[in-house]
Amino acid sequence: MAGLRVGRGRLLGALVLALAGTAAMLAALRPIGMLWKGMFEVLLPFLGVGGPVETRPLVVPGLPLGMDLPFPGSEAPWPALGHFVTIGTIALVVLLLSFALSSRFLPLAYFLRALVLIQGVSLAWFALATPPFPYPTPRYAAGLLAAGAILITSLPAILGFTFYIIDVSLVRKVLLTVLLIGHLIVLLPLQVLVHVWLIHQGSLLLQPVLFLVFGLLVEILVFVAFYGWGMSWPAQGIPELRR
Amino acid sequence: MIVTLLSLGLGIVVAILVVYTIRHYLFTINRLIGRHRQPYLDIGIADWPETVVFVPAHNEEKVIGGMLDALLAAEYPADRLRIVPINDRSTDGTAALVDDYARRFPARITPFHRSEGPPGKAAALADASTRFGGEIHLVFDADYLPGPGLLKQLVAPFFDPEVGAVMGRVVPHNLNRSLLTRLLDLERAGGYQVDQQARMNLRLVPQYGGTVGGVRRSALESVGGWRADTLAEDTDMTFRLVLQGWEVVYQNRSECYEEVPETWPTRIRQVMRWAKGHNQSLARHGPALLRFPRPVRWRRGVDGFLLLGVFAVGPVLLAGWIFALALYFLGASLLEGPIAVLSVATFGTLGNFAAFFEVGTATRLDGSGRRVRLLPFLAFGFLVNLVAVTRATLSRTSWIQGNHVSWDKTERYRETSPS
Repeated sequence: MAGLRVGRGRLLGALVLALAGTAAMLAALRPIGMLWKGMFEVLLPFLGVGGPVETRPLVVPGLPLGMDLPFPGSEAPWPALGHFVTIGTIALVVLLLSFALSSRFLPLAYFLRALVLIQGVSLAWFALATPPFPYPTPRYAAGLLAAGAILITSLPAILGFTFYIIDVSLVRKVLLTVLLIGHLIVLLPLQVLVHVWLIHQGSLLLQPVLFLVFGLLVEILVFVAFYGWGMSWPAQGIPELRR
Repeated sequence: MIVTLLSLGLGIVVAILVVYTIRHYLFTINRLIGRHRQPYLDIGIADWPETVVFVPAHNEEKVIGGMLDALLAAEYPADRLRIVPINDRSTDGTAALVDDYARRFPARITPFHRSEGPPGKAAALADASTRFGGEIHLVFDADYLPGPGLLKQLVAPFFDPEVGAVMGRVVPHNLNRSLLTRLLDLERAGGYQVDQQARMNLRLVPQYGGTVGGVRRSALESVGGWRADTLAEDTDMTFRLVLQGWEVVYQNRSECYEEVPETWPTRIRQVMRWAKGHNQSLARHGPALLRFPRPVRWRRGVDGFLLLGVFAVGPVLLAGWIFALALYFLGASLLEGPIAVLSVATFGTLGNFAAFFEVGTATRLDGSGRRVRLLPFLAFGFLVNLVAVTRATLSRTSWIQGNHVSWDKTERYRETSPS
């Protein structure tokens, strides 16, 4: 029966690579924070979102490592009647569209209905609630960035358990790690900027659906896409098959 | 108070998902580093037992000819093999077709026509199996295409007198038809190449899947024959055999080719049928498994219970999302807590992130190359499965015993039947 020969050498190599990658990521947290701060300072004015770029410390427990986590500091507006009408109408159109889709697009239809359901709950909650919202936009943005930073830092360990033990070459293992982490380091602040811009345009009504559906799940799917790509790479040397 | 209760509920959901994630991860690691069990597979010359191959069919004129041709070409002693197409009240040309085959091959094919009694595959098997002898009863769905050597491979494990049932590997052959068939190919690879084989390696509970497999007739009789009142006679049979101390064997190299659903509505009906049948078996056998009787013990008991519970995880996951949504609007501090964990877990089979590892490893073991790049699209399949499984699990049929069962067939797409 076919099997991948995973000997002690490869397991040890996976462990070393995972530890080295994690150490490198921890050491890189501070420059990553500086990169994100620079991106926010350059791009926020283009989006027409005012307010300062604030920072808060994100520390690694027990280690003198971490970053000054930057995040957009401007508060988004509490929803007005116009926001309710506009977003409610869009949600209704999306719901109708989901029923108009052919059965070929059934997963998309289900996804759209889930979005509308969450948006509907959000509309109902804000219609009944009074300010303040438990998650002000700066806190939301900081939370998403912090969760993303933790995820990115954990990636070498996750890959250690799931990819480094596979029979691809060391160069390819490192390459996939660098490409994936590099992609997410750039994606995450851009994603936060898009969220902040949308919330400023559409009010806090949009924040729940952005957080629950278009938050960390986007990074997870990106990880899975890279992982699938890496798993399709050829084996190192002669295929190690055994009976 | 409400926040505490919701948090507790969410914690329980996350704990269940973590258990399934660990289970799938361990199975995958076993396939990578464990020893592989494949008993008796390469036996070629032996005193082969008398075997009956049942092919339950209800309106299968498009495909059953191909199935019968493949069985006639099987490398199994003709005088030890009886082919029994079970025509259960078909209204198309199935009856005429199998009768034509029986006229042409009277010594080898004996059709069994049903026009009364409860309908459905389980009832058809229950009825037919009591009317035919033979030491081994193999079962194939009408749309399958077994290769010449498959029957011997499936019968060989029965040389071990402790083996009560055998299951082969199911491989889709119409995978190039749509995104769905591609995704089902990935799911099947993970389910068989990793999941079933790991359970076989670890001496847990490989599942007899109702087709591309069979049972020893004496084992069948010892557990009271096929049950007619279940939607998943295969799962039900697996656990009745295991609870009676019989071994179920999975043969990963015994491949047979099937036609998977090509449209989402067909897939949903299939998943709903499986979910209801699995849940029925969970209700029937779950408590007995957790009492860890002597032939089962705790490892197989726990694994069997988790296997039976896999379709009940859908509603659990959905409940988790509802709890998370409620906690979010109640202002609980979840930004870096359980919601993040739940989010990660959501993107696996029914909330199991390790499923991606399992599928990726399976395609690599298969040498399937670039098809694994479709991995992120599995999220679409999981979403549809989640809805279908939840609908099925919340239905009355899932949990009430003795419901009326009927033919709930998967649509066939093959254009013509080989002659």
